Amino acid sequence: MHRAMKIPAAFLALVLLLGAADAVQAGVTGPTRPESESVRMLLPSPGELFVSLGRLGDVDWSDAASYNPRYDYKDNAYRALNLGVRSADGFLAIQARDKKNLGKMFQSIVTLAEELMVRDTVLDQGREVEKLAREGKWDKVHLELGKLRTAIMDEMENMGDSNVALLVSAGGWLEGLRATSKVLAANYNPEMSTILYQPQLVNYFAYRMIRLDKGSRNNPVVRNLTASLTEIKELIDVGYKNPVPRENIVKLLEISTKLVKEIEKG
Amino acid sequence: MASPKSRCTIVTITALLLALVWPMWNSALHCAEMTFQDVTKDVDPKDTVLQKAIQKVMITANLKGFDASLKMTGHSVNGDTEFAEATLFAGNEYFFTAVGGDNAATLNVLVIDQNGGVVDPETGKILPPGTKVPPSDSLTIRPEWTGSFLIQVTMFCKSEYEGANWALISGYKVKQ
Repeated sequence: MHRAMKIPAAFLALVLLLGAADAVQAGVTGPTRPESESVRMLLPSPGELFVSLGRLGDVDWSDAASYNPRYDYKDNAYRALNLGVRSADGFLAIQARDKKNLGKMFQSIVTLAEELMVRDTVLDQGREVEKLAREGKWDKVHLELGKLRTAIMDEMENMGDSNVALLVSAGGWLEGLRATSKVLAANYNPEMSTILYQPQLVNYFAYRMIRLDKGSRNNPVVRNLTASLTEIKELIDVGYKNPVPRENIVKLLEISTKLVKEIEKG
Repeated sequence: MASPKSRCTIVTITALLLALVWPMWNSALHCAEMTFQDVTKDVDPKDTVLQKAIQKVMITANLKGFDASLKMTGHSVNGDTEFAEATLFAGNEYFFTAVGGDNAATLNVLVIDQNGGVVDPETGKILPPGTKVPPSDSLTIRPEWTGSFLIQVTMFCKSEYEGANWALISGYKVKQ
């Protein structure tokens, strides 16, 4: 090869090599997943997030919660999103050991689920929640609420209503984000802020929300939530093990509070 | 025909353009690959072996204080590996257990963190990427950092010619 051409060729090879290395580093997961494999996402429960946040120590859980008892909404998109928000608030009431608000959230969850055609036999599973709370068996209450939430979501999937199930997850995730941001904005701790690092969940919601049925997709709050996901991702995608800056958390609180208010308003 | 000097210039310009375009292309490629598949949770009503195995894991997990649920099901042939991703929150204790139905001999669960670190099923610790760990159908982990984890389920069947149903059950401990 002509000597003058060797340098650009070597440069080209280096560029290709660096590009390939970058592609490997860009992968979210370990080395064994085939590149073409699409991702099956296992969604977390809001309760899971709050148990992790509990490591912060003294948290004013009641202040973090929204506790809106309303359950009369005009369409299934609002019902599903509110059901998600209420179940997240139910977990917050458990963290706060707040029987009164847990009762309110539980009633709201059951009514919204009934409106979404979830069978009574499924909802009966959760009847123990209030009794256990009265007895102060909070860990069992947490387990029962978790089971009820899973049963409701599974029932929706079984009815072929994966759109509604997705919106329940999205509502719960959003209220979890709002409550966590509120707690962290008031008690900023760099290490604890890393629990907001959930870019893959945002990717998942963004992917699924734009593929909702037309009716749900055109719901104003669903549209706003979908549009906000890009900004939310920018604020939390700080890299694995890195703290989310306080100013990002304040902004996350602002975005999520506005969205939760829109959801609750209906 | 172009002179060697002008050919050299063309190659240099091409290389520079590639250097500019490649990261964007790579990024676009990565986004294009970011697709999500539905998770199935159907359990074959005739597969009582699987149903009983799921029930047993769920009851045991509940007794140990885990909010456990059936996360995923599938049907695989011998040697097949299925993948899922989960965001795990720092400080929580999680378990992942795979159970099989009729014809499933063993299953192997492997959990890998975002840096490729492999979870040791015996200790729950994250080991350096590429470390070989003993096969196990169940493991617990308490991640130090919140992030996305890859969960791999590999099926080993009794008969090579028939597949088997499997299920992945997972949960987090309510009281940490």
